[in-house]
Parts: sequence; structure tokens; C-alpha cells
Amino acid sequence: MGTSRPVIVKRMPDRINLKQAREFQHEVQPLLRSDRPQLVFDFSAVRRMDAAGVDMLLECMAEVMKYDGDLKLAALSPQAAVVLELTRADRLFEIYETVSDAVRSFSGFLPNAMRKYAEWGAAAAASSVEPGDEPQSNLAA
Amino acid sequence: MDVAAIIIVSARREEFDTTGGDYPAGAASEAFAEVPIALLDVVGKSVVHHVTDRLRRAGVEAITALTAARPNEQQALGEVDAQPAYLPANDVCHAAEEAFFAYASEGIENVLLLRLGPYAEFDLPDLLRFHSERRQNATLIFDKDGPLDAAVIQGVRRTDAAFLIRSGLRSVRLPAEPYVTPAHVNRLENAHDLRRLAQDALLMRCEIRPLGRELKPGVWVAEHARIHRTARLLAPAFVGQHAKLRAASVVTRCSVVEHHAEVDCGTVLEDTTVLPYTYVGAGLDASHTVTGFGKLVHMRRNVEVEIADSRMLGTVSSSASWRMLQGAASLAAYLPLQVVRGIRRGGRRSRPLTPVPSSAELPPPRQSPADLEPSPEPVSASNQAPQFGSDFVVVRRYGNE
Repeated sequence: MGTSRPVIVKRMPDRINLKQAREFQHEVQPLLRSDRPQLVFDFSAVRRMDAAGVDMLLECMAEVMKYDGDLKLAALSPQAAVVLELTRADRLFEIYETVSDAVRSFSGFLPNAMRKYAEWGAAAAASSVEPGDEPQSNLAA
Repeated sequence: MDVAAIIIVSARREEFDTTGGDYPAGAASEAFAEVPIALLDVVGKSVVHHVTDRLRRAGVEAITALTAARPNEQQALGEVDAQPAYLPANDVCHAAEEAFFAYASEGIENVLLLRLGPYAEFDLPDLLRFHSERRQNATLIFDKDGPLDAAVIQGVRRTDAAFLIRSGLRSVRLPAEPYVTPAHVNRLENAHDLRRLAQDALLMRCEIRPLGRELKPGVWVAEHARIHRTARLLAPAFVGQHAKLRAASVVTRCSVVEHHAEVDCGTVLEDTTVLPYTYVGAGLDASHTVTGFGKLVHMRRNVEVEIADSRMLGTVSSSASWRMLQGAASLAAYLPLQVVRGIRRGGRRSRPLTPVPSSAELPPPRQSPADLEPSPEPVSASNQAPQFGSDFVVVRRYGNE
């Protein structure tokens, strides 16, 4: 399952407070309102984030959903991850370890764990493993 | 037993050790938000208070606790029970020597020197017996992992005491056999250790006992704590003095809410320590953390996050009068706020409903024989509408489409 629409990666500022969040939202507003937008927010530089940042993310998500698009988060810094977990917002977004993983995820519906399973299956087939074996360790990882 | 104790609370060992020991960059800070961990609360009392209580139980009457005068530390000491003499001292070493000389001049036989630092539950009578049997000037205390920055020294040995203090309680002037304790030890080097000590206290793995009443097995609540009836406390858990748990909050899995802390509505604390005078905002999910002084340390991720947003993590004023003023202000503002909210809601309700297309009109309800009797007033369409919620009409409209 492929897509011809572009995936836009947006790097988040290192600090997301009320002012920065508003500026950022204003900046990405045209992207959110395009036809079926596909967005990835890169959190690798984020060092400080507060409730205004989480609000902004939720508003962006709501806007993207209106236009039948999707917003994914990638490369979360530990600080951003803690704030998202604290506010329980982490369960509302698809979160990927790297930006490239997030971008690739738009071109297929398989999540990372299942992709690993598929890779394991290919490797197992190559090394002639019995088909009945379950790749439990890879799934857990 | 003629013993005195000098407890030195120092944020960093290198401040205390004047011998110029080699301390690598990034060494354990023994502090949380610049406050020595020994001054932070664990299940109701600061570590230094737990230590002094333990020493008193062991028969030590004269105890001096020393700490450098930093604003944060003074705040942490602000409302604690002032049994030991806190001597603010810029030069902790010098103050410790003076305290030792004062005890020596009073004729104290042995002086126990402790740096907090590590928390150790060594057996004091056994230590003194070991010290007197070996006839040593000074005896260092170790555990299996190394020195505990503690020693016992004869009151008359002033030169040895000065050497010992200036070495950071790690070496003695004359060779001596160290006392190795098998007791419970927590080095209190970082927030993880603070959390572990709280867990050990709640799980009865050390001598520290929570301050307060055990409401049900494993759940301790101190005096004047305010817990909303819909808040849930799952054992083991501790709620400190004057702490507040608001509606639908959950405190579980060895979580500790220290005195004057506040947990707002719907927040879940799991394996978390909330330090004194800390406000935790509404609807949060704090798991495996130590929170306080505007900071949050996540145990699993091993990261410290500074949160400046007072809606998420704030500070409750340590001044009782200021807290009372804030409470009165919020109480006074409650009614006007409700009125304003009511007006807003009323404004939203009074919006005209979207006109219902004729195809969406409801079929007449099946009438029972009693209903067939002529009513005194004919029921108009406008009178029928309030019998059904607006949502029902909308559902029908979608159904027809």
C-alpha cells in the first residue's frame, strides 16, 4: 500500500511553552489544512515542554483529523517523552524512534513490531527455519 | 553510655573533603534540586530526623547537626521539629571541629561523626563495644561496598578528630581496624536512592516507620491530611501531614505524598514520591518519579525534567498565613466562578437548534387505549419536541439519510 502524497517532517523547537507553541502552530497551520496532510513532528531537539505544548499537539492532531490526514511523532527526547507520558498524551499519537521510521510508516500500515516480525520471517526463511516456530523474542523486542 | 553525635549534612562530598580527593565529573551529587537528600522527607520526616531519632533511641543525648546555609536547605529545614541544633555554617569542616572540641571539653567519652550522605542502620552499642575492645583512637565504619563516611572517635583525641574531619571521615591518622556493618545501608546518592528508601520504609525493609496512623494495612495517613472521599489509596502508600488528595486521585504502589503536598483531581501516582510543598496538577499520570521543587526525575528513563508550568507541577507556599489567604481567595472566587460558568452554559443551551428537515419528523408514538381518550388541549409539534432529546432527532436524521 503506497502513497503519492508528500510526508512533511517538521522539527520542533527546543523549548515549547505558550509563546513558542503559538508560533509553531501558526507556522504549521497551512500544512495542517492541506488535503489529507501527512505530518511528522521531530522531537529530537525538544528540551523543555509544558502543558501548552501538549495542548498545541492535540489541536494540531484535531485539525489534521478534520482533513483526513495523520500526525505522527518521532525521535522523542527523554524530556518530551516524560511530559507526554505525564499528561497521558503519549497514547494518542503514533510515536516512532526515528524520523525515517515515522516517514516510512505512512507508506505501509504495518507497525514497527510487525515489520520486525516480517523481517525475522524473511531471515528465518533464508536460514531454513521450521515454519512452525514462533519468533517470540523478536515480537517482545 | 557517654556518647555524643555530630551529623554533617553536606550536599557534595567534595565540599566537605578538604584533602583534595579525586572526584570525577558527574559524580553522585547527593542532592535533589540543590537540596541535600538527607534534608528531604522520607515518609513524614527528613532523613536527618530519622537518623537523630534512631540515635536517641540508642541512648545518644547530645546531637549536633550541621549544614551549610543555603536558601533551599533553610526552606527544607523551615518547619521541621528542631530537636537537633542546626548551626548554619559556611565552613562545615570548621564548625564540625568546633562542635567536637565543645563535646571534648564537656568530657564526653566518645563522639560519633556522621556525614549524610549515606544512611546506615548500624548497631551503635555493637560499634562502641568494637571500638573500646580494639582500644583505637578512631574507628571508621564500613559496609561491604566501602566506607560509610562515619566514624567513632575518643573525645580526648582532638588531633585525630581534626584529621578525620578534614579527610571527609574517610581516613584516620593512625592505622585502625574498621568496623564493618551488615546492616541496612542506602547511600542516598541520587533521587533513585531516595525513592528506594521510601519503598524500604513502606515495605518494612528498614527501621524507618511512616509517621502517621495506619488506616488499613499498608496505608499510613498523617494528621491533618485531607483526602477526598473519591480518592483511592492502595497499599502500600503514605500521605503526610496537611497533604491534600483531591477527587478521583489515586495513590498506589509505594507512592508517598509528603507533608503539605497537593495532588489534584484525577491524577494517578504510581511508585512516586511527591516532595513537601509540591502541587501536582489535575489529570496527570506520574509513574516511577520523584517530583518536587519544580522538577521531576523519572526513574525508568533516568532523566530529570524541569517543568515550569504551574498547572502541571507547582509549589505550595510554605507560609501558613499565605496558604490561608490563597484558600480564602479561592473560596471567595468559587461562587462568582460558578455563576459565570452557569451563564456560559446557559448561553450555549439557548442556541437555536438546527431546523429538522420534514423527512426527519418522528412517527407518532404508538398510543395505548388510555392515550386515545381526548386530551383537553391538542398537543402541538412544538410541545412534542421537549419529550425527546435533541440527540435523538439527530440520530433519526442520519438514519433517514
